[in-house]
Amino acid sequence: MIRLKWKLYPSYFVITFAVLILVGLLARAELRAVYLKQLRLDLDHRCTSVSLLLAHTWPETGIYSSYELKKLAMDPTLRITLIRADGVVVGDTDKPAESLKNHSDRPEFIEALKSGTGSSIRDSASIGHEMLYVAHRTQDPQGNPLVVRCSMGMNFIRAELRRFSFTLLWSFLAASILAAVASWFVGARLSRPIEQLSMQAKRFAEGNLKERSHIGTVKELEVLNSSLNEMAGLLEKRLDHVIAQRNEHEAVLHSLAEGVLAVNDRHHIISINPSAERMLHIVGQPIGQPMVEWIRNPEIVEALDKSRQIGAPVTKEVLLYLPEERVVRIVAAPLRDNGGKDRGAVCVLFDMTGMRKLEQVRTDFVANVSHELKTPVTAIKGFIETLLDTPDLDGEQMREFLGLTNKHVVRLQQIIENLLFLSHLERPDLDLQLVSLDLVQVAKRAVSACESLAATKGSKIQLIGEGPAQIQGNGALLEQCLVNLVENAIKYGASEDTIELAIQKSDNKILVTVTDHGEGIPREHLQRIFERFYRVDRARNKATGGTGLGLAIVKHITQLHKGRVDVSSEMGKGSTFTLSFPETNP
Amino acid sequence: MAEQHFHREISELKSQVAILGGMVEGGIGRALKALREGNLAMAQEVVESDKVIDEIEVQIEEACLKVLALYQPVARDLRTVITILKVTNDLESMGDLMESIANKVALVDAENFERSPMKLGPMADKAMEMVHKALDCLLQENVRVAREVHQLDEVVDQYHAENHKTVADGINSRGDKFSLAELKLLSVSRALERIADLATHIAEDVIYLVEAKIVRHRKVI
Repeated sequence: MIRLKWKLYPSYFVITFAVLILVGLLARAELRAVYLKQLRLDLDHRCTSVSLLLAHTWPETGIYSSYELKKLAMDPTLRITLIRADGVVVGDTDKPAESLKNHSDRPEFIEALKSGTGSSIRDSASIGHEMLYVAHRTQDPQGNPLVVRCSMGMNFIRAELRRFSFTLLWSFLAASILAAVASWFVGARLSRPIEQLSMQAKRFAEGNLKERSHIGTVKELEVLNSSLNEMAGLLEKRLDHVIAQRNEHEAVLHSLAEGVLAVNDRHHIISINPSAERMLHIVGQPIGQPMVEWIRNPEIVEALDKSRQIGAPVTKEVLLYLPEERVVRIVAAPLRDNGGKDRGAVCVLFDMTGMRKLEQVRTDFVANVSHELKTPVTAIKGFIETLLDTPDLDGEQMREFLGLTNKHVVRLQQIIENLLFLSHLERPDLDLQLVSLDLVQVAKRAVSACESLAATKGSKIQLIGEGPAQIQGNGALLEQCLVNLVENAIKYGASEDTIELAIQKSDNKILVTVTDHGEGIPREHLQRIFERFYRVDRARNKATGGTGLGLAIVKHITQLHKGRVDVSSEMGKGSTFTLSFPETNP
Repeated sequence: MAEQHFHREISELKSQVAILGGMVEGGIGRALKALREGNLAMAQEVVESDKVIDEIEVQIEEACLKVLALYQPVARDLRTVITILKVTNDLESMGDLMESIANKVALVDAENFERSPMKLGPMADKAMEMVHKALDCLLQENVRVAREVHQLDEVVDQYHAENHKTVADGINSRGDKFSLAELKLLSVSRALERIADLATHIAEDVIYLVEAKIVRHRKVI
């Protein structure tokens, strides 16, 4: 592409060239005419003066010698020829008259004889180059007509004209340089606003729509500029709108708890939200990459494929193993554009782990509560039936049966009381009656309450406490909570175990830990032992007694005190329950 | 033209490896879940899936050989094909180990697994993490993740050694009361350790692929 500046130059050059050629040719013709006229006039004068001189120098013989004529001429470039009316040459400056042929056919001679003067331009047969001939009719001393012809070479005219041509050429070169400079300036003046406009358009293309340009030199360009600015304004508005919309969409996708994953028709990921990344354990930048390289679960890939094939949503539940086991329900649906063309597929992932857990808790709860209630009722029913069927029981046996029945009734009562206690704790309008109290004192009371139970297994309870540990709490509830934990530790600890009940402070928190050295709790059960009636080992509830609600009560009481409960356990080494409460300054 | 074809074939191969990896990864997860829950049906499913894994391995291998013969790749392209070949092999071995874990389900019930003093749970988590990361680093050609895998291998080895010791102690203290299930679980520990080793191999192959350095048999890579 040629810049505008240089685009102008060729036309300037052609114009300059044409003008100079035209002017040059005219000037050259005019010049030649002027020279000729001058020369002819000069030769006219010469003829006249030679005619006048002839009378005085006319030789006896009637024929001039060259020398004599040259004396008359006084100019070596001038040729003089004297011709008689019959065409016989009687004198010539350049050659002897005798050697010259009859000149009666020369046009200037014929013209001069006829009208007095004559002239002609031609190559001289005798000299050899272009000459101007001028002839005058006159008379010799005898009164015979005589033609005097003066002639001169025209070489000098041609030389003059060539010099003029050279001058013309030089001036042409100078003019073309001038034209270049002129076209550069004009071009620059024209192209500057255009360049400005194109820079502006470039800025718009780069996305900088804020800037506005002003061009005041050329009307057409100014119009173009203002429509460009207008366009940028519109574009900016629309772009802002689109960006805002996209941001909104992104924010919505971003904050969704459900995972969203979209792939294009070549199975490359086009969109994924953080929830999906978390569920699928994706770390990095998967956008634009092949899906299979990031989501290797064959079931998800299959579901997406299938939904695209059948053109309808596909629902599936898949198990994911990382970072922990999750149940994820996926709904894959095909992506279609307005024309119904296949654009890929989108997949929504619902994390069902929590819900599955809750469902499990509920079924387990119903099963467990029925089991727990049924056992004593069955026993009581059995004893009563026995009593009814055997009326002749002696007093000792009857007492034994009634004692056993009583034991199961007490157990039933315990379960019901605990359940009521739990539902009491769960009441939203429960008034806790919190007071500032020292946890170490509460722990002391709990330890003394458990001492008799500990004695039955030969265990000891060791209280490690750095009092005072002040918290806002309800003493009776907290005591119940600690008693439950310590009783559990005694029941599930080794025989002759040392149960450690430790109270310590750390980071504005009061930590209460209860440690036993029993068998430990398998990892799978750790998260579930705080559920009501949940038992690690169904076979053991009879041996240890207990209602299956102790830890549920612990959890509730702790949560009512804004605390949290944790458990850690190692198989064969024992378990540690940790309660942490926020400390209050006394 | 040929170059384009070649790259299409390579990305097709990578996709296949990703699918194979996904099957192995999911299979190991399911085998461990079946073992934890004593779920025989799930174990059977895993055993069946190993056959598919074997088939895919053969397919990928044939495809690799075809690519080698047709395009005669050099430099990084050659390394890519070689890496895919080796990784496929490793994944197939993982599939066998996954099958062997699933086979133990019939002999070990959930109770045994729960009560075992061996640290199989955390060990399985680490091994799974290694497999996941090994596949990630392979498919994304990420050397940093590859080095992470290499570091994790030591952790799994440590677990395996501890498990060995736990079993030895158990035999010493309990004598004839020592159960067969415990020994079966030890072989699960062994399988996990092998899986971790294979994951490390894959990571090392990725380093070879990206940096053209063979780092096997080195402590620090």
